[in-house]
Amino acid sequence: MIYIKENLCDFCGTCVSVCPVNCIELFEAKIEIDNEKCIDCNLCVKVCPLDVLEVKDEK
Amino acid sequence: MKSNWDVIVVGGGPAGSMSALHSAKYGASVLMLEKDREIGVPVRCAEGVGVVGLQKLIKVDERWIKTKIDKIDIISPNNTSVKVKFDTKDNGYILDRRIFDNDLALLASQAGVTVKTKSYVHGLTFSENGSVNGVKANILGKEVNLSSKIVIGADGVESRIGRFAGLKTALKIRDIGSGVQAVVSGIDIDQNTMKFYVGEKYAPGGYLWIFPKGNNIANIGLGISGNRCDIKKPKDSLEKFLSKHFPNGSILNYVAGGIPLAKTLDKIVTDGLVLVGDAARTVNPISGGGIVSGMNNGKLAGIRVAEAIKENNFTEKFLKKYKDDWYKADGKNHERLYKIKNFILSLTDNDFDHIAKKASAIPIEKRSVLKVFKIVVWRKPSLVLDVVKAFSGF
Ligand SMILES: Cc1cc2nc3c(=O)[nH]c(=O)nc-3n(C[C@H](O)[C@H](O)[C@H](O)COP(=O)(O)OP(=O)(O)OC[C@H]3O[C@@H](n4cnc5c(N)ncnc54)[C@H](O)[C@@H]3O)c2cc1C
Ligand code: SF4
Ligand code: SF4
Repeated sequence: MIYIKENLCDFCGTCVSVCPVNCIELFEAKIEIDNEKCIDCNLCVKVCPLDVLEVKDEK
Repeated sequence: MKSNWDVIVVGGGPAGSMSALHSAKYGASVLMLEKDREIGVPVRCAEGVGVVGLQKLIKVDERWIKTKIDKIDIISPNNTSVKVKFDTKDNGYILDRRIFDNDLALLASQAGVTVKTKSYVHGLTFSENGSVNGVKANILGKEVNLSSKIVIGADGVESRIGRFAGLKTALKIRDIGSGVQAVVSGIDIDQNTMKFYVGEKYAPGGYLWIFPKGNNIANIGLGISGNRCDIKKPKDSLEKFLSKHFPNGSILNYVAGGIPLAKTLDKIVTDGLVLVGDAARTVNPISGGGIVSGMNNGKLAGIRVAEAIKENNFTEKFLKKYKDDWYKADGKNHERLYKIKNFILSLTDNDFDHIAKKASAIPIEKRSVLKVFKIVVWRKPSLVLDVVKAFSGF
């Protein structure tokens, strides 16, 4: 699961551009990841310029 | 607002505005939707453009220009500086994109385009035969479906619109530049020089830039290749640079941004849909410059889209003419630049220092971007022809 440290996000779309399943939604000051669709590839975590995203193990 | 349009443009950046403007100019009814509250804001851009390319596309308004550039200065890891002076005093501009983007949207609206901000497109609608025939949008908080003959996806680096129609727009991580930028004031820098730092220290697989904006203000930022971001996070790297070089500078603005450093997508049209600008991946993959190329690309798309509306033919087959136009105009060159970029990604700090030493040995009055890049590819002679074709005239 991808965890969003939301207060740090700048809504720049870098994560969206690499997401292979198009499951990140950005609208104004809002970011949402559809964890149902997410395939845990972690590409978004890697490319975020501000280190906003984190991988968390599902409990 | 009416719900049937000839053309709906998604995204109000330079590529969107140019495509909207040219579709409307040749007779189409056009709606342009932008998700942010204001066109041109936030500015996720270093704002540098080449003058010749811009002038070919539009009558330049002095209000758009912050500074005029007459030289560039590339700094290698061991601090060897390679300056290239241009023949003319105003070879490049640093723009004020807040005004620039706004004016482009204004020009589009004066040509008949209806522009709406706070309008987010989150899906497409399709006809029975699978052709795109409209958008699902949230306009000022209200959910609506709007129908169109052609949708233009000008939605920038995210490029989700194309994906809704099955186009493969997701970038490989080696093709995304992960960027941050600060607008820094109170710093003493040359006002007519664009400065670039290359190497592992600040920007592995990319570069750090200082673009002057007048009044001791500059855009200072960097882009790191996506597959190198785990070694170095862009925000940490910029912080390190600023605290070393400009510890007393004020930061007036701070943004993150992604730069698609790819070649144009193989498929940028499908039935009822075309992609333009960053969404189609038309950025110069070496410089990261996408304003002028996106505008040109948007213009070419707009002209063909208007033609398609007139002919009542919205098929992929017809719309492909736009892709051919683009390939002839800039697309072919972008393929060359992409090949060169991939080579540059393999260079080490030692290579950069070696290149800088050789390039700085050329007398400055004889130095040109073309000559510098010929040295860059010295280890790979097969790229020399690409360099000559891509950089002749620079
Ligand atoms: C840090 C950085 C520095 C750069 N420096 C330079 C430079 O110096 N020179 C240069 O030429 N280029 C530079 N670029 C690249 C340049 O900014 C882009 O190439 C250019 O903005 C592309 O224009 P566009 O119209 O295609 O996309 P954008 O300008 O990105 O416009 C896309 C618009 O679509 C909107 N949008 C996205 N999704 C939706 C949706 N679903 N619904 C509605 N609206 C949507 C966005 O809000 C945005 O306003 C830089 C980029 C970055 C990130
Ligand atoms: S890349 Fe990072 S800062 Fe940019 S939108 Fe995604 S999570 Fe936010
Ligand atoms: S982990 Fe992969 S699939 Fe999940 S949101 Fe990030 S990029 Fe998309």
